Amino acid sequence: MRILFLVSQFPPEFWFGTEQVTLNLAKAAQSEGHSVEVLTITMRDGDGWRTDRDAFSTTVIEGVPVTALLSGDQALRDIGDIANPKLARSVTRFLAKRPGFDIAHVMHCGRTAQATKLLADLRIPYLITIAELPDHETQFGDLLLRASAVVAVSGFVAGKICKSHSELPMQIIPNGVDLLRFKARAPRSPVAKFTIGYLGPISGASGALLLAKAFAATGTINAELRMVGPTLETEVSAEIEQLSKTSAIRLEGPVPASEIPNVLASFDLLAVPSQHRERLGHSLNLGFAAGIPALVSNLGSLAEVVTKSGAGQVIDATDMGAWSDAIAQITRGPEQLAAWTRAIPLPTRIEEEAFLYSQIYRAIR
Amino acid sequence: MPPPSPTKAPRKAPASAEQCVAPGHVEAETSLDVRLAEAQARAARAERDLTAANALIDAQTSLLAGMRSSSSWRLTRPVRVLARLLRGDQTLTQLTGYFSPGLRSLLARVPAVGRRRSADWSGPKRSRPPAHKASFPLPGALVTLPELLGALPSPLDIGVSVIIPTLNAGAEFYWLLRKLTAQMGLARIEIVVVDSGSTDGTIERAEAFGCTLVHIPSGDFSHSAARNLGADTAGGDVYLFTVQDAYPVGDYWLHSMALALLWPKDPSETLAAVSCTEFPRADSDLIYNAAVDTHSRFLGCHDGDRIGALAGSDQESLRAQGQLSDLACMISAQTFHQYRYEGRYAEDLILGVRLVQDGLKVAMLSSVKVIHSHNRSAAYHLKRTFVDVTFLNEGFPDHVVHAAGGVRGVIQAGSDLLALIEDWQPALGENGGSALRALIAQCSKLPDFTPVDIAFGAPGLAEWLRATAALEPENGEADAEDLRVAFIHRLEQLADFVTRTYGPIDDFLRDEMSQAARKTLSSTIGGRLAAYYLHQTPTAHTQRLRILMLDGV
Repeated sequence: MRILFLVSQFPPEFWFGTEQVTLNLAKAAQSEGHSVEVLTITMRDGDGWRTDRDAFSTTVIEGVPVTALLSGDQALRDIGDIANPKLARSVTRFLAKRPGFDIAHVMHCGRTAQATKLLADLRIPYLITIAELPDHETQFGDLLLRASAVVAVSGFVAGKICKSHSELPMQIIPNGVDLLRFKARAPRSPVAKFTIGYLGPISGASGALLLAKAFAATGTINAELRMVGPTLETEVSAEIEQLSKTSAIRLEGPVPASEIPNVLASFDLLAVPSQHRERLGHSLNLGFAAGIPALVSNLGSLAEVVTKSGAGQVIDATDMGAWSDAIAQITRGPEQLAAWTRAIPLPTRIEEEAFLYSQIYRAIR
Repeated sequence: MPPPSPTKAPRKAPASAEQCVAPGHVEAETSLDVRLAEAQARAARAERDLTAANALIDAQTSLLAGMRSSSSWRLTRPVRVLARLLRGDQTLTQLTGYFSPGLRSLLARVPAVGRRRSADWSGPKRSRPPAHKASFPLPGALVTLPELLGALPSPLDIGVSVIIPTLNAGAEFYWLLRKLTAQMGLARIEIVVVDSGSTDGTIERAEAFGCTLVHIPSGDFSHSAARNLGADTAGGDVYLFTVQDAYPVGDYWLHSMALALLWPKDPSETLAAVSCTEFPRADSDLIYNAAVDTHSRFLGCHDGDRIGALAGSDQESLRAQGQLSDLACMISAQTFHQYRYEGRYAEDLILGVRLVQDGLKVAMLSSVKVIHSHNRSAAYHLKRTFVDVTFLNEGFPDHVVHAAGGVRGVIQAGSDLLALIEDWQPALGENGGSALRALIAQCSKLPDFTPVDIAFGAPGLAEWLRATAALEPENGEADAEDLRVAFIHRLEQLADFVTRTYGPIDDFLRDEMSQAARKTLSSTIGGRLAAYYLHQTPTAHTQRLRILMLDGV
């Protein structure tokens, strides 16, 4: 089977959650003997890209062929929902030059709407994975209805889509975790300092500052807050640095992806105080893989997962006092932590995710 | 519903089989036959499809002719023309054939707004039928995971005993136990761990998960004995045999397998045992993926579930129809205790063959899978193929292995091919399949290198080969040629897979291909050493080779 993955950004320029999921799925499809290609955009020419005989920018990432459209064209930011004749011509030319695709898997529908529409017009069966809700609902809705299959990455996202498309058949396949990178959690020493961990960008929207203030307000002695991730807003980072002078807060900066299992293993509890509606909850899944429960804000999919499993506590995203109370309570009561830990659900493994998609590929071919 | 009972008495395994066969290793030996059979099957299918399509065309043509000759069709023609124009399916220019010459001339001068659009899209639009919606179950599937059906199934009132032989199962055993204990849709799940001397905490981990633990002395271990012992301890209505490094897909994996086994949708689908195919781990290597692909095509379960039944008594047919896999093999307790496992090796294949020989059916599912793969060393591939070939020869009398007269030719050709592979540096950006074909072309004319160690690190083998070669008077040119030809056959299979799957080469793919070529060679050498061993009068020296090859496999 020939499978086209359509994604708005991809390595080597971008390598985040959806890009990694796309790469995992593409490689899994190859391991099953399918031929795959990724179609994406790039913002600039340069390292890692070469021009092929059809004048496309191409590269290969871990054996997966990637083609980027309109290299260096800033209008590519509009690949999604704004009519872009140049893009339409490029996608058309790409599809004409390549051997025919049996199906397409659209990973960033909100940002590749126009390209997706071309697939629909060409009657190439396509599958849409929805990880985020697009801004331009009208066109998006039409593409959903024309899709051969629609997959939501969480019940939260599926619920949102169902509100406007109640008749749309949809499957839920969570993003997978590379479980084998994680080990069984060793029992916690009762005398060890209680470690609350935060993993993610240091910014206002992520709730990092609220968490730091809530922790500082507890005055807890036998606990520490470790904050791991890149600084996106320097003023937030500076304020947390200030708080760390009087409380056990450590701002540790980013770590390589390969180190994340070890970092999470050193936490007792994960805090995800997101101030926006988390759709993927990937950090929560990673925490569960590492065997740690979580305190999460009541926005988005995280609240749903924690409430359903009982593997932590859901807290009002903006209520700093509630966060302080929750932190103080859990650091004093390890029995509660043990109960939460026992309730941790087993995350979906990346190969399970890939197999479920492989069945959908067969179904829509 | 009670498990189905076989009605015939169990039969013995074919011959005194002691060894096992695994995915993909032996198929290269019979690759031409398999490919020929596949091609014939494809041709037959294509012929059937063509006949059906021609019949459909005839019927539709007749229908169309009738419709076009009707009055209503002629009367509504202008409406259809207008609709095509508005949809952009045809331009004004294309439609001018419908009008008078004067009007055609006028229309030809109109700068058609829709003309370009039509030129861009009309071809592809007409080339494909409308895309259809995904629906499950897939045609021919015996069972579908509830995660895809989108509906929770009714629980099954049965108990399943999962039986797992272990030896130092490692860290990932934890994940398997968590996954098994989280399985849903069954009344009872029991995990029976049969351990043969673990020292890495496997036993403690099994106890922590509440498994039933059985110990088997390592001296008594065989793949059959360990599993039979586990079954003797198990209390479930149904047994599921699996391995310590497997991982089920989904939360209803056991439920789905049980459904296929015990609740057939049709009486013709009544099964005595059911296995599922493997889905490669994310870190699976190229040669393993290619081998699984070849093997699943050989078994007929690459694109759908396969029900195996007795279709012939030749070894290929028995293997293709009877193959079960202990990566995941479910069987009712009643049936199992009538048959039990036999042999030190290939116990799953032997069981499946015995079942189909007794007129029963077994299934190999691809609609349910188990995550499993290996990333083995070249030395392992060498030994594994030796064991596979000797098993097939001993287990199936009609499995013919072309004899090797000695080992000198194997060493010479192996050295030459190894030098070739180690010098092989496919260019970045080159097509992967083409690069392998170029390597194959180079294999046809080999320069003679000084013989080197071709044991790939298999302990004791290099010394054994040197000692054996020293006793041989002949240079073994025929044996060298046999190895070269066998290697090319295997490499062609790999090249087929790479051509189908991959495009341009990057560092990652280059490394994968180099490793795969190396392991293909070691595997081929293992096969030719088996061909040597099988045609020698047994002596202590030849038995030493067998012992070396069995070690660690």
